[in-house]
Amino acid sequence: MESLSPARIAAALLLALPLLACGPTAEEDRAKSGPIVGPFLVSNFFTPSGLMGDGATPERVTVDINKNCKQPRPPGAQGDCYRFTYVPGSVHWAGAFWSFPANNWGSTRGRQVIGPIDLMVTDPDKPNAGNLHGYSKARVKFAMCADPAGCPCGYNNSQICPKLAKNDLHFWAGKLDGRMPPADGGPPQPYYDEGCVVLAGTVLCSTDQTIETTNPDGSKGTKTVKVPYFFNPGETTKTADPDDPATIANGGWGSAEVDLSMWAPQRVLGGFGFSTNDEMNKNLPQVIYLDDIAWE
Amino acid sequence: MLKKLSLMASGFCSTLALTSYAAAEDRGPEINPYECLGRYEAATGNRSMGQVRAELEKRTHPLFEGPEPPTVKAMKACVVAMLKSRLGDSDAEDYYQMAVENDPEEPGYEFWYGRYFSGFRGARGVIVESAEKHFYAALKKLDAKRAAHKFRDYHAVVEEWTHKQLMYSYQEDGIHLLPWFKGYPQHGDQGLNVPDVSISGQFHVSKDTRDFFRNNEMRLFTNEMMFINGSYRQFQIDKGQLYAIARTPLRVRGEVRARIRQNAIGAVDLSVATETMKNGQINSYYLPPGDTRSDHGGMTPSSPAWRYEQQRRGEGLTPFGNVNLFEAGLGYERVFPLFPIMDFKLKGGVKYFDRQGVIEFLEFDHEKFLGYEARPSFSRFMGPDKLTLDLIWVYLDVTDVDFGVNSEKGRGKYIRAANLEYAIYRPFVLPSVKNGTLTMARTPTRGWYWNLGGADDRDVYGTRTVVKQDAYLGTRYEGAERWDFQLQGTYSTSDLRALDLNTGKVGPVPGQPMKFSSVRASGYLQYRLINPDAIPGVNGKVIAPDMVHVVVPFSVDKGLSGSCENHIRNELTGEDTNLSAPWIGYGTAADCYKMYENVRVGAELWTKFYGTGFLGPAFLSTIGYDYQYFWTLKKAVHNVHMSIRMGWDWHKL
Repeated sequence: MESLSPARIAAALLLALPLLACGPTAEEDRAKSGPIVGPFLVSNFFTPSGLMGDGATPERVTVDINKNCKQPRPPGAQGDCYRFTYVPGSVHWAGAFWSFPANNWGSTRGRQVIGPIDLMVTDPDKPNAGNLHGYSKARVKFAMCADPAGCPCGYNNSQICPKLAKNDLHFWAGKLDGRMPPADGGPPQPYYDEGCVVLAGTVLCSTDQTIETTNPDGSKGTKTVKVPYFFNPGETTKTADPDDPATIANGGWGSAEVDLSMWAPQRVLGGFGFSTNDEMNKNLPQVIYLDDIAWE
Repeated sequence: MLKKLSLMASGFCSTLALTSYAAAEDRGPEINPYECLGRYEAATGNRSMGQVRAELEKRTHPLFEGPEPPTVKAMKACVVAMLKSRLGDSDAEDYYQMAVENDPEEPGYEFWYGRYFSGFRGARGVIVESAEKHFYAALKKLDAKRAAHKFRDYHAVVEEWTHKQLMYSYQEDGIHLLPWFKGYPQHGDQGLNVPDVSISGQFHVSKDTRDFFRNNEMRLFTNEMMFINGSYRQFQIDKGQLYAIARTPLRVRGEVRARIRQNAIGAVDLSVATETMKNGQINSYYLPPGDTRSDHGGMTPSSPAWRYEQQRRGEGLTPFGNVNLFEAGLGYERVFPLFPIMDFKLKGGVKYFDRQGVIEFLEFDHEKFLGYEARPSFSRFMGPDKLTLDLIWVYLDVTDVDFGVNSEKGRGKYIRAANLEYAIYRPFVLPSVKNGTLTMARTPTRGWYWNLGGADDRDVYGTRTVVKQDAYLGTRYEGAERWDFQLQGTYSTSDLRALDLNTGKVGPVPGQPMKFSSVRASGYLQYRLINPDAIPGVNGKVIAPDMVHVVVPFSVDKGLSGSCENHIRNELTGEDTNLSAPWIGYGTAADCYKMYENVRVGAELWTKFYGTGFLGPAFLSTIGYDYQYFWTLKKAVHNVHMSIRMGWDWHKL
């Protein structure tokens, strides 16, 4: 005769009942939400998912994050380090946007940011919302090397490591405009980087846009609406040149900065971006190391 | 499933119910234990449960009439035990025990006692540990009878049925490697306490829209379509891509399991498995296969997806990617008899997975992670019927990705499910034809089962969660003769929830609706060419066929709601851009949830046999063909699948 043990029954129920409750943590508990306030590391909020040019074709651009990085990293480097390996294809250029959220080309609005610098002006459309805040710059450390991986970043001329000519790299922050039709087709998207431009004491936070409307009787009309201003700071072009004394002095790392001082960014889709091409190194694979990307 | 002792045995038993009088002993006459079965059948045949209860009352008030010899008492107690088993009384075991105690030399009562645990009791499986105690005791007593020259003809039947029940109890184990313990034919009781090792193997191959775990393919295809169609990915899906999504990749799975079974402990499993899917995984939802937007010989610009597919073909890759999976697991299983409350099956384990091919954009990357599962089942009688609750909890601690921001790197999969089954074992008054006349007759069944359940499947992608849920109601009727059928309705949903990091609110992702619901009507009709319940003994010296069923399965999937992206809403301007044009040919984006509606019907052959010539493992095979037609796509698909198992896992059948 099998005996009934209360302990057995209790154990069975104790084991079983919590099972249905054991699910994933709630979405709101998985990350801290709200605007980004103050200086920030780009890799904490933006993902290099927006591969462009030849990068739109799988395997033309591969991204290593926090592995296979150039060592040693720049002194005091923070955030993730990256290695981009670019094998030129038919487009002959490639680049990447660090977007929020990943893979966002303008489907959704960007991440709210509040810079550390009080610009001492207000948004003319929201005069009661307090002063606008901005950033001085976005910064990055970079190096460019020949592929295959393992070749030292320099002008080596061996049978294994091809010699790379100097190469221009382009860097930017913001500038992601989903309204531009994609080169390979597809519809334009509604959103873009938003920010106020502050120039000689003049603040511009919105522009007028005329859109087509349909009247109740079916006829077409137009109306004008205010939309946020496009946050579009200029880009910085730097030559990857390991013979540059500054690069040598910095352990082989070049450095670039994007000037953000005239802007009060509001919502950011593209936290950072870079591009390269093979004009000076036709069809030669290239490795680009990026590190210490931050807004400050 | 409750395996009642087959009614067909009655005729057999009537010839065996010989009552002989041994030499006058204090214990009383030597009684054929099959008389117990005969009396039980006489008391239950063509009777309602109320009448059976009345029969029981007559036999228990009083149980014994005056001073009766112990062997007579044993037989009477056995009949009461069987009636109580049939009625679901929790004290049935006491009467089996009483029968054994009153006639301790008779192996037949030990057999009936064991049969109670292998046929009536249990939660999703035999209570092996309880059943085998009595089966081995029966074998030991049979040996004693043989040694004492008291081995009667009917003892040969007891012996054969006991071996069959042991094979049945161990059928999920595979082949027991130690022939002198649990392997068929078992000898005495030496297999009871020694840890025995068994090996099971399973092989599955299919070219089918459904995977081996029978996930809902309409929901899978619709989710893939909606994800591709989202503005985070390709957005404008091509007609050819829609068509290509309904696919039948080649899948192959092999699994080997070593099981250590010991009576006091239960079953401990070590398993390894490999699984491959060829040409079945979408590697980039920006560039899914099947795009027809070619360059038309250089006359028009081709689409990126078309170019990518050409590139893959040029590199010797298939349009869809391959998925490879390796598993190594440690598991535990045991049924605990907790009567009079319930029987409880504890099943759980941990598995190591090495999976390659499912990370978007990184089809050659491996994920190595652990998975945990617990599958408790609870079962108890409700009168003659049985109520069973199955719970499933699975957590796959999928490797976090090493790209993206920290909050988006997390990966994981959670499955929680519950199934409540009510099995009606009482006979029904059903129309039947007797002597050419349609009449209503009380008809025994092998069970009429009703199932109600739900499943919740959540895939975590950082701050996003793909939620898939099912709710179902089904019934399965198993006739006493050759026909069975099952019908089930399933309501399925999917959704994608995400945390808006700006606002902290959780809701749908713009541009990735993935909100979808559908309903499935499914079932099968089954004809038993060989009925396992009609074979209580061992019917073959080398191979013993136990079951051959012809099955006609069918299903219909119908979309209920959902919408693909057919417009872009700009909240900044209030502008709404209609983009429905790409859907021409297969309806509109607004009704894209109907895209993979389908009907499926097939024919399958299910077989089971025991390898009685080589230690008695159970083999189960399934081979089938299903025709499936996606009427919106106008696509016909031919599905074929085959499985061969030596031993198995009940939950994966």
